[in-house]
Amino acid sequence: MSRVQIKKLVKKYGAVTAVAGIDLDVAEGEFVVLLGPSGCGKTTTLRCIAGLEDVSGGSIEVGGHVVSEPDRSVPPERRQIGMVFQSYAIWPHMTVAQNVTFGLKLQKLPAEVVSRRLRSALELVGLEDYAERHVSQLSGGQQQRVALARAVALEPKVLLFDEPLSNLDAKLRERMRFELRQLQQRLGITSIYVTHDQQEAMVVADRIVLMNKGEVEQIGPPVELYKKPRSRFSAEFVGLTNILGGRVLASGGRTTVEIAPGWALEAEAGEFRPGDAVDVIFRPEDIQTSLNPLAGPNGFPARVKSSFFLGNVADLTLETHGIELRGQLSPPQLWESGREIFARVDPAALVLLRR
Amino acid sequence: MMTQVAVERRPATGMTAPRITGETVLWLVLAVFITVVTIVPLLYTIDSAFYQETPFGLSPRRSLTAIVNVYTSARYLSYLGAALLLAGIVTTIALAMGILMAFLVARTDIRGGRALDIVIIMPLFLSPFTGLIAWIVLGSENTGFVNALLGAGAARLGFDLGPVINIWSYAGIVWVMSLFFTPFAYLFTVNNLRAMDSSLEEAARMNGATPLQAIMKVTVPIMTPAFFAAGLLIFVLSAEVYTIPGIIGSTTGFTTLPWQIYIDSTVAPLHRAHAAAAGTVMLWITVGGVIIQRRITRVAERFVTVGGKGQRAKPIALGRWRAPALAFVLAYGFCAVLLPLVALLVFSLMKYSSVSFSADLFTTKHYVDLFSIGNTRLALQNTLMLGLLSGAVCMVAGTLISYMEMRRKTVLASIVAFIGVLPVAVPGLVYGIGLLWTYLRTPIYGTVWILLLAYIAKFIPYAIVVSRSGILQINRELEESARMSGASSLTALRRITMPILKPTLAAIFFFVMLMSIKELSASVLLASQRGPVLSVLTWSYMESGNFQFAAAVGVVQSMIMVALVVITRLAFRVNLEKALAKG
Repeated sequence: MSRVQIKKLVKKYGAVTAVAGIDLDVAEGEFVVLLGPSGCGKTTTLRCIAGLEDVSGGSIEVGGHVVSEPDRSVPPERRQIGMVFQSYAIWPHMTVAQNVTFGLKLQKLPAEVVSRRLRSALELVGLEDYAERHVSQLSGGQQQRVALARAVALEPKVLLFDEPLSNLDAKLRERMRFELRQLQQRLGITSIYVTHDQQEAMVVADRIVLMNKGEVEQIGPPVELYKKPRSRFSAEFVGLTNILGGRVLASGGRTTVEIAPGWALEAEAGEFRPGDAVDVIFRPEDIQTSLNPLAGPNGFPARVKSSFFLGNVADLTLETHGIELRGQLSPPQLWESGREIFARVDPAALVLLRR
Repeated sequence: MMTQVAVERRPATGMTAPRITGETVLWLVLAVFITVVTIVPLLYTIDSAFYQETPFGLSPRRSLTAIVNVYTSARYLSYLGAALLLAGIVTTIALAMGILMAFLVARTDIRGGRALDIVIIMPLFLSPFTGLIAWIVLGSENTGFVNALLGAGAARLGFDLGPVINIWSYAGIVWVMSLFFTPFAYLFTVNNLRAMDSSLEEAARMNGATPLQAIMKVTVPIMTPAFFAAGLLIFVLSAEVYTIPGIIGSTTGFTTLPWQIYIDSTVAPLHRAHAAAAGTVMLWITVGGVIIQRRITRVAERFVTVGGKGQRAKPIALGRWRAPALAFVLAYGFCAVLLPLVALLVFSLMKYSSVSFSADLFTTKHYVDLFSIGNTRLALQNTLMLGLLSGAVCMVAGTLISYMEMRRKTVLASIVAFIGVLPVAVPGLVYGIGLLWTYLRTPIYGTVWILLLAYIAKFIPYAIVVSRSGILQINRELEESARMSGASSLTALRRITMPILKPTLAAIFFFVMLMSIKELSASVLLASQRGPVLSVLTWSYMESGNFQFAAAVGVVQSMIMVALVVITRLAFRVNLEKALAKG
């Protein structure tokens, strides 16, 4: 269990900057997810921590010792960091047991330690009976578990995950998220996890690091990231969002923002002055609908453009003052297209960002 | 002091400055090795072209005479023309036969299907020169088995047929060369045909095309770049062959440029500068050919859509052409493998050339001699040893070179890999003279070790190309996860990459071994009495007119190669042709 400190990390490939100076402090036993679109530098960051890439600038410390600096790097095999790869990277010419004990044998651990660790690692992932299987006889999900067992058996200081679930089918992926989270909590290993799937990130993470174009957009617990996006990018990348451009009309106890002539929305607090250009951001599920005008602030009439039943929610497109809004109603309620209805957004649900 | 050392050696956290690792050392060794083996002889050859010559070699004085003579005189240009014309004819025939058979095997319901692969590929694993000996036995004007048997048959029916075929002719050269170059055309097109997205043809069918129209209007145009690339390769390879046109041409008054290089560099009075200058001409041809071929292949790759769904086109029903199609493929295998081997065997058991097969004509004397004469026994040993060594060296060095190129992606790695592949464009003959002169004054001159250098230089490109495609298929995360498990880069290479690559490594090893055993064009120049090899023995027995003995040596050589192919297939479960086609 070790703390991981990343300071001003820069990674360049020739003229291309993959990571442009990020800072991150991962506490002992914490589960941090690097989230972002492809090409945002999350995997590069992870590979720098692993030691598979040399860094161009900044430093990485594990357990208080510098492991990466420009021109100076502890090779990956001496970092005591475990890693689960996207492709699982299960060695096809070995059995499950040989895969799991490969690193243990390299350390020349006594035979009984090796077999004990093998047993407990396989038990951990529920593959006790598969030790002598050849990996070609395993399903994708089982290979995934072998990869996990192999990383855990080394009892690493830090565990890295590079999109470990992206090759599994949807159902299994869903289940493995919870299992991974539980396992990490049981072992208490400092973990850093890369994914582009925000739901996955929400399930496993203590904190999410949202990355974009080699830089950190926002760091915070999943709820904060969702409820309080600090940038347009954060709002758009995590979950569905309505983003409306507007101008501050009045500020004080609440901030009033004019979205379109004759239509203004009130938001809670915010340090804005009249005349500021802002983005008003809210989630589709924050829209309430009704046939009759709704009580409270921020009610407005709207016309239903379309409405679809998605199972747990109903997806809704509304039009008001020439602007389209996306809503999600739960429990699902379907509205006829073309219908004139009333809608409302709670001022507490609105996030204002300076443009 | 002690404590300081201990602090510096903290294993997991100790900092390491850029250091000299096992990998770096290995690396430099490889880079130096590849340069010495491939580049130096080549430069030596080119350099030699710019000297005055004496009847015994080169004078120290520089001169452009040889270059001017070779590049401008009507005599040398006509030799060049002859070589190019021959290569053109051979390429056309080999391409037509190879593509036709590739199409039959890949896209039709021909009986036998994939099993026919080995029938068509087999000649690749035999020596064309042994094939020539066999066809001389079969097709000589008066003493050839074919003419004799047909003539005897005709005589029984009451008329005089006269010689039907004559191998000692231009047509004879073309025939033998075409037989042995056809597998190349097959090898380089059959997988393209197999991999082609069948929906392209199906779409043509849905648009109203008949099966034949779909092939002619869709498949053939799409495949044209691949066909052309295969053709260029055959052209380059056949243009440099001097053994077959040489043996036959020397009696029929026909000379190609490669043969003239051989004469200039071996027959007194020597014309070493001329040989070297002509060698540079051959270099131009091969380098040019390879460059164009690469470009076309790149175009072809963009062009050919490979169906990723593993969906195969429905085989085209041959109908009443099914039997003739199979007969055609089998007839090819018969002419290129079975008939020559049988003829060679029969001939090698005969006391003297004769067409009346009586019992007292046959003897095992040649084989007894073969194994009792010190020289031939030594040749057998040398051949096997050189095959094993060049196979092993090419396998290890070639794989490491492409590994570095693919995984480390440094400029140096790319340069080394480029240099390593370069010899594919260099005729064995040119390498032969280059090595001969490079090592003239060194102890390895006249030993078998100079042959080893030649084989390594000639065949390391195959090792690099084939291992490259093998490594491409290994996800690099497999190695990275080994690093994360505590393995050093060399340990990961040894414990993970190499074992996974095993089938590819076996294919490289056996292929290079086969190629080394049948290599002739460089060997003829380099082998000496002190270090004979089988392929050169067949050559010298042929030149001295001892045909039976040449045939016996050819039989032994062929048996070794057939055994190797069988071993790779059965014991190592490696299909050489598959591994090769991938490269």
